[in-house]
Amino acid sequence: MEEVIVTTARNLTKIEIVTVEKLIHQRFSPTAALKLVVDPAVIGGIKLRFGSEEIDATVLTKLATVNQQLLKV
Amino acid sequence: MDIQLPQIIFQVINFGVVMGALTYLLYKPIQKLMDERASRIVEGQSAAEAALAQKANLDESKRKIEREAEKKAAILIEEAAKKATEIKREAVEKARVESQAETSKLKDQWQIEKHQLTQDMRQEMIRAVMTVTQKVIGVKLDEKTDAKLIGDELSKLMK
Amino acid sequence: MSANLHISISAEPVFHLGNLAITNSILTSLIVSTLIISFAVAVNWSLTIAKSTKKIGTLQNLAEFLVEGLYNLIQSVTNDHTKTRRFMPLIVAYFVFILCNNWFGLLPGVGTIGFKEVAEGEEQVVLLQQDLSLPVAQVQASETKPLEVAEPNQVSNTTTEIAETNVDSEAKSKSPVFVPYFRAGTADLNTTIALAMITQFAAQFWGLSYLKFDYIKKFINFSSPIMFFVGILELVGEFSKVMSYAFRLFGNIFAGEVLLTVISALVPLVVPMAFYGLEIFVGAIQAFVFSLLSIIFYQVATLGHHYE
Repeated sequence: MEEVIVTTARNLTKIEIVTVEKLIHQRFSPTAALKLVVDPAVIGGIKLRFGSEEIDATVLTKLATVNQQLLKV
Repeated sequence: MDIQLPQIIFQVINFGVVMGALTYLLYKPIQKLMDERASRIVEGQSAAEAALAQKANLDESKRKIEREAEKKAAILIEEAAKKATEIKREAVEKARVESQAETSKLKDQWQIEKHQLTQDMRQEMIRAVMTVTQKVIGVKLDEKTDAKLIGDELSKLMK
Repeated sequence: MSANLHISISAEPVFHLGNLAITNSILTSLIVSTLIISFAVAVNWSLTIAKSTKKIGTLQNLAEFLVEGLYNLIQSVTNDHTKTRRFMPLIVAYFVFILCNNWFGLLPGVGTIGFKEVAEGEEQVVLLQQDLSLPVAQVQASETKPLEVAEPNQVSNTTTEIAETNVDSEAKSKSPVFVPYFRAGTADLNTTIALAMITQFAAQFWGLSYLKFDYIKKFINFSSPIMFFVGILELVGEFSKVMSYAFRLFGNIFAGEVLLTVISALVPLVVPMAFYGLEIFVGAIQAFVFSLLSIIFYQVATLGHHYE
């Protein structure tokens, strides 16, 4: 069974979990299971990983992007 | 007056004997001695003259050689001077070029280094800022904001 | 003092060698010749010594001075080195011989050391008694005929009283005459004639050897009558030259002797010194003159008649 890793900085609320499930069934696979990972290092936001596809909306990544942009200048 | 022939003849003989003795014992040896002396003097003089002439010749040739040597030396010196100037010029040129190259190289290097330094500094700064930001955001990011963040993100994704 | 003057114009015989009478002049000149020969031997010996020690002694110096001086003298006249060398031996001999003979006559003892000779069988003739108050000269004629006793008496008739007495005494007694052992060699006419003749013959010899037949032409010249007489005069001149040489030398030396004798007899101290000096000078001059005239004579003879 496919698994989707969901990384957040804190524990998700039930509402959030349902929303995430909905998104996953919509975007990736309707039968995918959820794996919830809590990683404070990401600071905030959410990161979804399904096989080789990843959606990263964590604050950390955003910071990293900003960093890169700064560096590019 | 008493002039007697026998006595005259006797005196002639007497004188003859004296003349013979004087000639062979005194005059001839002395004359030979004086001749030898004169010839030695002449020889000495001609030898001295020859030596003087030779010396004059040698002096002349010495002077000639000296003059030629001086000329040659002058030419050599001139050439050497020219060469020296040439070499100096070339050396100066080369040195200039080298120094220029070196300078530009250094400049480039400095540029690179500066760039590098700047980059490093920037990175450091950014890292520092990021770290601080991270820490600040980590501290400041509460549940509500985070939930909003997540919610916005999800909504975006679902569209 | 004045009575002791002894001056004889001719040389007196001292001894005899067979037929030849050896006079005091000849004796002296023999002694001088011996001295000259020993001088030559000494010079020769000193030359051989000098060759090994390389030092020149006084004798050699003197001899060189003599030879060089005479060489230059002859050279100045002839201007020809070969001629000078041919003339040199004779001229050196002349000069040395005459000089030594002249000077030897000035030595003390020459003319004063002698013996008293008694002339036997011969009269003694006193000359000049009429004119002088002093008996000056006594002539001893060895070959003259014995004079008559009457002659002195005749002479005494015209003389002064003193003279008469002297003449008488000398005519009657055979008082001894002083004969000196030594007398200057050149103060004898025989010697000087001998020298003059040698010169003359030498001149003729050299003239002939240099000019050959042309020399005879000097005397026998047939180109013109005048030249012929000139030739004869030349011939006479040759003979007269002999006389001139002989008498010049003899006269000078003999007169010097007489002068010295008279002055010494008159003033024996100091004054004769001046005359001795004069005589030394005269002796040297006469030797020089004889040599020089001989050289000139030879030069003229060998050059021929171009230089008249």
